[in-house]
Amino acid sequence: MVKIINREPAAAGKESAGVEAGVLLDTLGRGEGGTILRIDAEPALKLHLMELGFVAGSPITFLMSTPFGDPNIYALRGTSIALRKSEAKCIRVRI
Amino acid sequence: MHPRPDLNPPARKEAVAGSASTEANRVTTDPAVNAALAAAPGGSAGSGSEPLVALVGSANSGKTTLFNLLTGSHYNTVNYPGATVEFAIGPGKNFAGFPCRVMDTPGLTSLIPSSLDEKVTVDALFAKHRPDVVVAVVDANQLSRHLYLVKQLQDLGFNLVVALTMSDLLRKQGRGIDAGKLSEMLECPVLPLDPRKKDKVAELGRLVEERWMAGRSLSGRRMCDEGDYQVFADGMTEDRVLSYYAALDEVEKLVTVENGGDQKTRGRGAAADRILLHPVYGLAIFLAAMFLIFTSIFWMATPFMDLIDAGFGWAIAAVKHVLPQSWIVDLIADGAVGGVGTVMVFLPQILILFFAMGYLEDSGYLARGAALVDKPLSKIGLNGKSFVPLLSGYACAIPAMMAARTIPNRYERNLTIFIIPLMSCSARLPVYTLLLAFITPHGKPWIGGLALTGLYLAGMVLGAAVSTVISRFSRNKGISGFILELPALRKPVLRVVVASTYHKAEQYLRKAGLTIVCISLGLWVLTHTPPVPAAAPATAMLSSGGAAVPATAQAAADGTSEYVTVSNSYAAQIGRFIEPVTRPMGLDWRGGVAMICGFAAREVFVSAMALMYRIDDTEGDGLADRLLARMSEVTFEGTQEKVFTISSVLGVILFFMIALQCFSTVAVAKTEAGGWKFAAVQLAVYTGAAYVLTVILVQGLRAMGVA
Repeated sequence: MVKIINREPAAAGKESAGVEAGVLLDTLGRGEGGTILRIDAEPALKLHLMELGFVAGSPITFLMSTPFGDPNIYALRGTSIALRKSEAKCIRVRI
Repeated sequence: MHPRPDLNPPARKEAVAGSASTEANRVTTDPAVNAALAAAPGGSAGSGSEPLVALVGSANSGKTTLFNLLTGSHYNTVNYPGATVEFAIGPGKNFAGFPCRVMDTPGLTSLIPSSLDEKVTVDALFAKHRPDVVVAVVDANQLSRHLYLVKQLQDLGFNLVVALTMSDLLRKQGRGIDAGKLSEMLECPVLPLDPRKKDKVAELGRLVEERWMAGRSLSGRRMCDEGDYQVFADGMTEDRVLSYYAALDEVEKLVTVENGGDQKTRGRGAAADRILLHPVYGLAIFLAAMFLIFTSIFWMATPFMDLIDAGFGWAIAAVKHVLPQSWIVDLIADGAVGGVGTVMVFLPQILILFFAMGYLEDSGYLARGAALVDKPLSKIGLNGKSFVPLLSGYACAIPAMMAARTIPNRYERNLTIFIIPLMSCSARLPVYTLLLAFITPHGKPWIGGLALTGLYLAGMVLGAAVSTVISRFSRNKGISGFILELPALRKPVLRVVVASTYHKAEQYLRKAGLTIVCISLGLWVLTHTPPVPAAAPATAMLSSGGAAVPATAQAAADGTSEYVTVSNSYAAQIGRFIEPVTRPMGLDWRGGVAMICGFAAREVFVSAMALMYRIDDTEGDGLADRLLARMSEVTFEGTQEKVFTISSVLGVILFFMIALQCFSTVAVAKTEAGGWKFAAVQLAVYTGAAYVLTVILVQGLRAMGVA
């Protein structure tokens, strides 16, 4: 079972007005999907993820984890991509 | 404009690792790349009157399958010494109506490379011999992601044809791509095809020819150069990526035709993955696959190795029989033919392992295996992407180190390269087989088999230990990550698997083969010079101790004796000189010389043992049996003390497990890890540790009363 932790409420108060907080990608439950809001990572990783298709507005689904619990497998733009949780944490999604 | 700290363009994960890595990933019009392309087979001289067609695309787009189809699997991997550059180039004979060369490139998702193998592709695209036409292979299921690269290529002015693959998978989901509309929107030809079938080859050839002619007629058209690439790379900001994807999402929406399929089938192969990546079944399947691969080495490779060994033994005897007796014939027979035999003996294990891995790779399973072991490997400082290189290390360290290029993080790549020599490569198998046969009781071969499995596992455990220790004490590791696309699961194409197995074995033959044959020739000369005059043996042997006298008597009876020559040779002089070093390991000078010979390639140890302990070509039992019998009786010269005992043989096994006894590997480590310092440290650490540990083991066992 995938535990759902660290789930932040949408539009958290601490965020400045107009910026939607969403949830972190690694907190999605199995089979749960959403739309990418933005990526918070150091510039090189951020650009790399974006080039791979992790751009705002893209639908993404958490397909399954792997036997040791990390990385997770996500469905994005017609393919399956394995991402470590540390990388999934950089991606915010709207459910 | 977003500031990009790392221009040039670096492998991104390494941006923090320092300027050295940035430099390593700079895309240049490297002279070596140009030379390699100019020298490519199937190519013409000079400026390349035969057009060059490059296949570019994501690793899982069916690109390599298409390449095999177009070249009829007749291609060569071109490697240029001193540069980390490797291309597969073949004549496009099955393909276009005009003579051309076709080049396959490592998978690419963007023209901004994020690993060394991606950099190789970008290098190839911007080399002096710029491809005349680029065939971009695009998976219809992930149109926007794959068209991203197409857009980049177009922006840089490449002459493109798009090959649209995997439409059948899309059709199963009740969808399709309107190729005509896509072609219109992209302003370049788009051809849907299945790279496993030949039906569209002629049409693709025609499109490529059209583009090539069109490109030529615009001779005034300025091709982009390195400067343009820099401007392009510097301008690759987040905004730019967003605008690309915004445009591509629009394209995808307009060209996708819905035929009313089942929405639920749209998680590609998800059902199979739920089993393959299941916490219990997934792990069981993974372990079973690994177990099958490794046991196949034992029960499949060993008979073939014996066959090759016997075949070359026969060939050596035949050469000596047919040609008149002279030293030059001996040199050819023992040095050259024997050397080639040494090289060939490894092939079964290499071929079996690479075939199995190629099969798993083409089926899409290997990527899942890498994802599965990412977490355990990250605990010891490695990466899931280290999995394939480490597994290859069980065949041969050379292609294994080259496979490490796919690891984006420089630190993890170098650490992987560092421990690859501990994986039990094919050269160790003949040595282990001989030595285990010596210490295991007769009539119980299963004990030897079990011990052999143990040795293979021990290599893995040792590698993990070394990696753990190093990663505990190192800094500047860079940012570790694991982003890997899992390709669709499908039935492997046998032709592709066979071709890739062949070319990996060829890498070994090309890099290690010549070195081994040369060193084998050199060893023959060292063990056979200076020539001993007919009268000299008796006096020479008397001076070296009483135990050798019977041999001398026999030598006198035979008239000539290989042994006499060997024991007075330069090799013997060196061996006696270093005996104080080999003695603590429990070996006499002859064993020491055989050990040094093992540095040509580990397996040479076996034939050197036969030479040093005077196993000649007389008829009788197999060489191994005679060698084993001889090993059980040899003593240190001038004493009754046996050389080969349980402790000394265990010591030799331990030494072979750890020592880096392969000059070809050292040379490749230098190229792949970027420097002599790395290769020298690796050689010194493993060989030094092997020596010290062997001495401790042998002396410790003897102190405990083990013979």
